[in-house]
Amino acid sequence: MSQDRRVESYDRGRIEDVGRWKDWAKHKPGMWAFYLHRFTGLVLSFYLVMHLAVLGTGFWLGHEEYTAILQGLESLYIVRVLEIGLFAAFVFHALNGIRIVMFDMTIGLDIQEQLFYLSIALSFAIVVAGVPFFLL
Amino acid sequence: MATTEETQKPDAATATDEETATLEVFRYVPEEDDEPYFETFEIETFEGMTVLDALIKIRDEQDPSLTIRHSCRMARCGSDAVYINGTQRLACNTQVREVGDPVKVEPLPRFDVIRDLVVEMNEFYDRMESVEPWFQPDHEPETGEEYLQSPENRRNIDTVLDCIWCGACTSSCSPAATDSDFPGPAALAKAYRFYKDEREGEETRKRRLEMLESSHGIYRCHTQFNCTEVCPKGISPTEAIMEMSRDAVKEKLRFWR
Repeated sequence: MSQDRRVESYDRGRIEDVGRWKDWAKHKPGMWAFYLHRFTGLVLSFYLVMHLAVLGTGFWLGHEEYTAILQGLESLYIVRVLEIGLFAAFVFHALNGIRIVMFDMTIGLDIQEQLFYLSIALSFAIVVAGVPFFLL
Repeated sequence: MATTEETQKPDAATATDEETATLEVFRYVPEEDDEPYFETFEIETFEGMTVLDALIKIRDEQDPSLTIRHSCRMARCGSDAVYINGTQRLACNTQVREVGDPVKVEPLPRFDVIRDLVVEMNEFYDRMESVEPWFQPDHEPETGEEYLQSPENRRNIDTVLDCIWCGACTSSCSPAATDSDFPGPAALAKAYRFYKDEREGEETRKRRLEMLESSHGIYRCHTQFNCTEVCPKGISPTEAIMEMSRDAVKEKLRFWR
């Protein structure tokens, strides 16, 4: 609007504007929910790319190669551990997504912190319950 | 001078930990400094001392050049919003002894600094003005009538009316920091105040909603609740924004009605 009425002042810079990372310890649950949701979202979309790449081998190389690749991957312990991580990311993203959809319907805005802790606790419980399925 | 200080020291030493506070204050004087820096002050505190009291004490006793905006000293005017130990707060509404030691006082983040703790507020006022925060009725009331509002309707806006334009919420809001066209939480709470007012009529209500639901409007809110956490008056701009965006979506998706 009226830029002209602005007084001469010191611009503390874009990093200062956007980050405030130096005060991360002071961030409130709502902000952590946001960070975690974005992070798990990125993890899931990164996984989707790899998932399509692996599935693509069945299309481009054939059945035997696909089975061999998949068995090779599943025999690696690190892949199974990463799968637990993926599962955890998925579960939290889904539960926190429900929390966000509730906000869009203006439900539970006054108990947002408790809902965040609930989504953390529930995803922890679900992941712990799911660990045997991945490691067996 | 030295002798009196030495004789007094043993007495004071026991109480020092209790009664003094260290303040790290953001300093920037445009005529003298190229870059801002932090200056440390030691002051004696008393029960009930606010951060604003401490800053005024520093200005009175140690450095008269320390600059801070303040007026009413009772959380009504909203001119002394600063960043204390990582949170936007009103200096007059924050106890020195409760925020921990040292007390780090900075100007509001994301606002440009004019001098010391004084920030450029015109950008914030532009944001506030962008939502047209004034009463715009559709039609004049019939002759001799007043613009009457029902008590139930008034209750909707009880909390958002308390806004004192301190800028703490807009300073804490990361979408507002990254998008200068986003009005920010304070302005949207103000928009909610008029949006909910039944005296304005249906036409104005729709026009307000259309104005707010642009790509730089209400949908920019990421429900981080930073504004709700820092508001010194206990307003929840997030609630106001979410309620308006729910209404805006309902307005667009008419097929189920």
